[in-house]
Amino acid sequence: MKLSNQTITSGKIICLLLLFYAQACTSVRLISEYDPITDEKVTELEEKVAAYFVRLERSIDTDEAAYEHYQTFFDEAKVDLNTLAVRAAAVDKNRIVQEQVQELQNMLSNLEALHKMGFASAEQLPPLKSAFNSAFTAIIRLQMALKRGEKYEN
Amino acid sequence: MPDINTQEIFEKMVTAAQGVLSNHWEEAKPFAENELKVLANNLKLIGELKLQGKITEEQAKHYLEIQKSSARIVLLTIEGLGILAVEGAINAALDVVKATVNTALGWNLI
Repeated sequence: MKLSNQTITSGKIICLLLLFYAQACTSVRLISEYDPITDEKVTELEEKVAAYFVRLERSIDTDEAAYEHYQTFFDEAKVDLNTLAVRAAAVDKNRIVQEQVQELQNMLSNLEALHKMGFASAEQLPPLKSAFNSAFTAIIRLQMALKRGEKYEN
Repeated sequence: MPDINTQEIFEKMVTAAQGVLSNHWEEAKPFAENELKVLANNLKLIGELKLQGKITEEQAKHYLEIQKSSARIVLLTIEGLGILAVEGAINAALDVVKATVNTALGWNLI
């Protein structure tokens, strides 16, 4: 039986799709791939938060420590976190990073509420500073692991 | 207000983290234990600030929320490391049989 041109063309397309699928299935992906932009943005935000605590520690007993002087920091950090949230939502299989960014947003919101109430002494800062350090260390550690995972395929 | 037992809190958090990570605990253990110890110490510091009257109850609640979010971020990383380990194991298993399967099928399926 002679095959029609249309059948042959359809067969070729299916073969090409199967080949493409086979190539795409070379490795299993259970979690998002490494995203250098997320990594870069998180590192930038970590630097801003570190600078915030250094400045606050230095000025804790003065008027300079008042919330008004740190409003720009909070505004910028919120914008950065919003950018990170949008980016995280756009990456496939990225639930964990999305939830991490959400928790960072919660942390910043609580920090802002505390700063509005005012810090009376330097003793109030270490638990906050180390909580942020732990959070950033964890997020960056996962990014580094994702980066190594990406190399595994090559 | 009773004093906070750092060791007790730490051990409970480690048990919770182990539950999340199950089979991949050994790989994540050094990182997890270090970060969870920091969090347990912070909870103790918050308790002390409250006892000494250096923070109000409202402030203490915000401090606690920050610690809870930080702990969740650490646990999420541990979960991610576990998923990544499983992913690596599956891909390593596929790599081992790649040549055999592809040759048998006559296609580069894997």
